[in-house]
Amino acid sequence: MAKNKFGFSIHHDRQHNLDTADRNLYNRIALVEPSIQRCIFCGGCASTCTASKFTDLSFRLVSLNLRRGYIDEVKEMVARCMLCGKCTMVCPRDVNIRHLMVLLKKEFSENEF
Amino acid sequence: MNFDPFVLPFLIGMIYLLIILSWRYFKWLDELKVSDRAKFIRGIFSLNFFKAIRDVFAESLFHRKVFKVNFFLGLMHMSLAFFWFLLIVVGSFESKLFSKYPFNAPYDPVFFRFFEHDFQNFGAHGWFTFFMDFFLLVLLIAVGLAVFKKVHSSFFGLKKATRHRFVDRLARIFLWLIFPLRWLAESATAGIHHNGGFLTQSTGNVMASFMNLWYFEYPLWWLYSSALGAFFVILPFSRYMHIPTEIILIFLRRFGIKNDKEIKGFANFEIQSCSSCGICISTCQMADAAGMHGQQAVYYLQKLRFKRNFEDPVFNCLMCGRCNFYCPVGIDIAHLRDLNRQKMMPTLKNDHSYLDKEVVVQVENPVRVVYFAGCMSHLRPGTTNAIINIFEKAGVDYVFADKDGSVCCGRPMSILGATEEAQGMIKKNTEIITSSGAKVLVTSCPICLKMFRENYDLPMHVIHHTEFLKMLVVTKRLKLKKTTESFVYHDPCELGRGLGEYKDARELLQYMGNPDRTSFKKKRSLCCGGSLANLRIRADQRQKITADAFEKLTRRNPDYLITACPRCEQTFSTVADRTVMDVAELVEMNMID
Repeated sequence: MAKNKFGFSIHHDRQHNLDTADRNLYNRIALVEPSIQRCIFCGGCASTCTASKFTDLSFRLVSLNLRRGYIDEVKEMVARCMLCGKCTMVCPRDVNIRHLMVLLKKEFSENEF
Repeated sequence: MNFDPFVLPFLIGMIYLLIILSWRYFKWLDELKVSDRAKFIRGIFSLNFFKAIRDVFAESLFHRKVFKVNFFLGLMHMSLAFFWFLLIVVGSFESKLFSKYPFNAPYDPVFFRFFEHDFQNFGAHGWFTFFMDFFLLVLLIAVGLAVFKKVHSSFFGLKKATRHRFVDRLARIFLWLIFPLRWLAESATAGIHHNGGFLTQSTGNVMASFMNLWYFEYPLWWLYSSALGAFFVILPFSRYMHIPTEIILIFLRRFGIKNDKEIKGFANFEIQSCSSCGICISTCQMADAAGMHGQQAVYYLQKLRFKRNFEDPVFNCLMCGRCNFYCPVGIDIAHLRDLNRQKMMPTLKNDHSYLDKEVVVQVENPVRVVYFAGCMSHLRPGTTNAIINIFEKAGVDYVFADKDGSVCCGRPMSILGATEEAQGMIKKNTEIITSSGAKVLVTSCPICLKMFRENYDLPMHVIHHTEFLKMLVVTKRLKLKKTTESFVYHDPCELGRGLGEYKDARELLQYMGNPDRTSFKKKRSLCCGGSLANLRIRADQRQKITADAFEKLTRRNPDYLITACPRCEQTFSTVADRTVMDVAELVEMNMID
């Protein structure tokens, strides 16, 4: 359980069908901010996150779920972000996470999913 | 009364210009708030009116602030503005004195040489022709400088010249044509009637020696009048709108009118006062270090004027405030960007309900000082640990408000224009901080500090840790020794240009040694490149800005780069070849018992 201390949490197994996943949102976002393609899901963002001290928020999961097409889960998580930008500073792959979060927030505010 | 059909282009252009200008200015003044309009009326009958006139001479005519940037750039602007002004003023005196009547036609001074050839009864003729020719000569040299600037802008201290829009370029052609045409027309008349001065008479004689000037005189005056008329017609739609508008802006500023919460009224005067001189381009680090173009203040204002898509310059900006400082007109560009950010950012559906649950500081006894590190400081534990150690050593009665993780102050959200959405965080932080019952709030992060001072309503002093540590040293609760290492101090944007706090960090550093001299200090300081305000900039572009700023700051090869912002510290440490640390860390190193 040591992982918990670094902002990780344990999720139960589930199967993802990547062939039928809805990648529309991911593709749209990646067009504006292509750096999301560089994400290696290391979890550095989640471990430094200011909000993750209080609630479940992990950009690693947002990035994963976006590719898997779980828009509802992404929506729920993105709303919790405070945009402090620490994740962007620690990202080893130079993903512009803060911009991605704003883009997603804008998407969910302007369009109904 | 003198009249000839060729005065019509000038006359029509001038009347048209006056109508458009008075219509626009009336509309913009009408958009001012009621209180601002009252200030305007009161200002006209106060001493500020005369102070504003002095400012108009200093800025609009002499271009004092442009001289500070580069001598030749200032010389060019000053010669064009001030000597054109003299040409107009002295010219009207001449024509009025000559006709012995104070109210002559508006075109009389402009085409004086064409109409009047006989100066037998006009004693001051020699003086006037000499000075009028001298002013014209200066103006011709200024136009020459302006043309030279077009091909060789680095001579004028500009790394890159502004890319102008079509209408601006067209207006510039007319402006550049006015003075050579006046010279030629006056020379032609002088060649025939011998009424010119040292410049026009000599060129007139040369022209008369090889051509029949009777054929050329009249068309040249037509051309001169048409160039003036065309310039007047195009002026309200080009950047030359700054010529009349800056004067009004100076008066409004002197009367104490400030930018409102919307882009109208005063903001219109600011937007139209930009002369597109391009000083902001070479001072913008995004252009200078990262090679990004099109987002600088001049292009933003240009796009605002032409009502083009200005989304990129609004959001693709570090908001470091360097252009604000260097702008010779003093336009508050950062504020104009911020206003549009608030307008263009949609309401974000945030869910910060988790903040309501917990985190309230536990205090047994009332304390005097509450320390709020801020999110960024948690990335630099060296800084927070240093501050805690210093507090312990100096026996400060404190509580660490966000030891187990901070709630964001809300500035990262509001700097993007989402001011309303930050309210939840503001409320929570106010609750946490006030629950400590302290009298002083010390924070390590200038970003939080700016937010606390400007958007919070906290019942206590809010200070940065540099100020607090300085107070500890001044009151002898903390003793420091001189350090043997050399260091350079970097002013963070938010602390320096943002809040004007330059003094305390420097005074604190004085106890440990003299910081290395650098030309990038105080208001001239550089952005580290890590700014929270810019979302769109790519990581490699950021890195170029950081590396460039680091190189510029460490030219004298100091052992340490000292800063007062955890964000700057973190950003610089990614490119640093020497230790980057906070002032607090240096203080911790040099404490003595």
